[in-house]
Amino acid sequence: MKLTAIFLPILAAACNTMNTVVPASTGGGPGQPGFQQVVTNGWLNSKTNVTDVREDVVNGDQKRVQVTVYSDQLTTQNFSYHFEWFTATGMRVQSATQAWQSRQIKPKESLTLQSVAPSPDATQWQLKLLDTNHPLDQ
Amino acid sequence: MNSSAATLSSLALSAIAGAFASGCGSPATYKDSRGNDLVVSLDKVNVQDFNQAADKLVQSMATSGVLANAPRKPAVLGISRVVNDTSDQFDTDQLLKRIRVALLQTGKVQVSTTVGLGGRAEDPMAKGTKDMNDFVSGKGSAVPDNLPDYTLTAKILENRASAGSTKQVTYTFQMSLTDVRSGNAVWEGNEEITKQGSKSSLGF
Repeated sequence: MKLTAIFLPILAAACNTMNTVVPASTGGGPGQPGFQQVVTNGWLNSKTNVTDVREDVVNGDQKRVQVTVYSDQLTTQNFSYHFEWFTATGMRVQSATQAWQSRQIKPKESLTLQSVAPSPDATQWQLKLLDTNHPLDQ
Repeated sequence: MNSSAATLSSLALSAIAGAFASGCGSPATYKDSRGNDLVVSLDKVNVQDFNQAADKLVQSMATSGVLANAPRKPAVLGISRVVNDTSDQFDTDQLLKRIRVALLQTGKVQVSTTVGLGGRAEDPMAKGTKDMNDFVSGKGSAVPDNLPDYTLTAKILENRASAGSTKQVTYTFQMSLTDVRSGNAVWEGNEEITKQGSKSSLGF
């Protein structure tokens, strides 16, 4: 029991890599583009599993995206996320304000993460998820 | 002999102590100022707090769609009063400039640097040049074409609480966008950032 308590965080920390979400080419309906999860961190995915992605347009011509994540964990968890935006040709659009954000998710909770494109020519997006406040990081 | 031996010993001890001390500290490194491994302070507004607040406020303003209904495009924005009501002395441009850059990037807003609060231009040289151009072209007495369509005001507040050794601080970033035609606020944003702990830490 003690060994498990010691080694599980070590194993999890060794795999503290980033998960990424991108819209899929095959859509799920109007405003629901479908999505693809690139999971390199199973532990992180268990508390930020993407269940829904929606898109619309605000302010006339700026794309907005909303990603719903679900935590299957039995304790409150922390994670951080960051949306990156790109033009149709794949060039990154830098924003003056967009930075990594931290969020807390309660057991079995679904919460939404939103971002608005920094400019009208930013039409492609990518969501990056990262584990935070890991026991070994304290 | 004894004296030189003592000097050598003290020099050796100093060298060992110096090496030990330098080995204990961590060397300064560059960090991504938008990253998630920055210092989190309980007694000041950190750079990531400004980034988070500015991001949420700009997104809130964009989502409201108010700038899509501006009387002219791009609309002209004037920066009005910005108040720092916290115990942390910082330049409010740390918040405002981020918001200005992000709004300019949308293509829907241009910020006036020649019309400012109390008649003070942010860029006196630009104002002087514009005034001269208007005078030469005969527009001197006409209504200036760079008057703002909207003005932006902001206030940053602080709320502190503690329980035992746990301290908590909440910074509230409030912002209002006023349509100068009606004189009424057409968008308002309120973002809170709360930090809790017994001491400052690294990362969030």
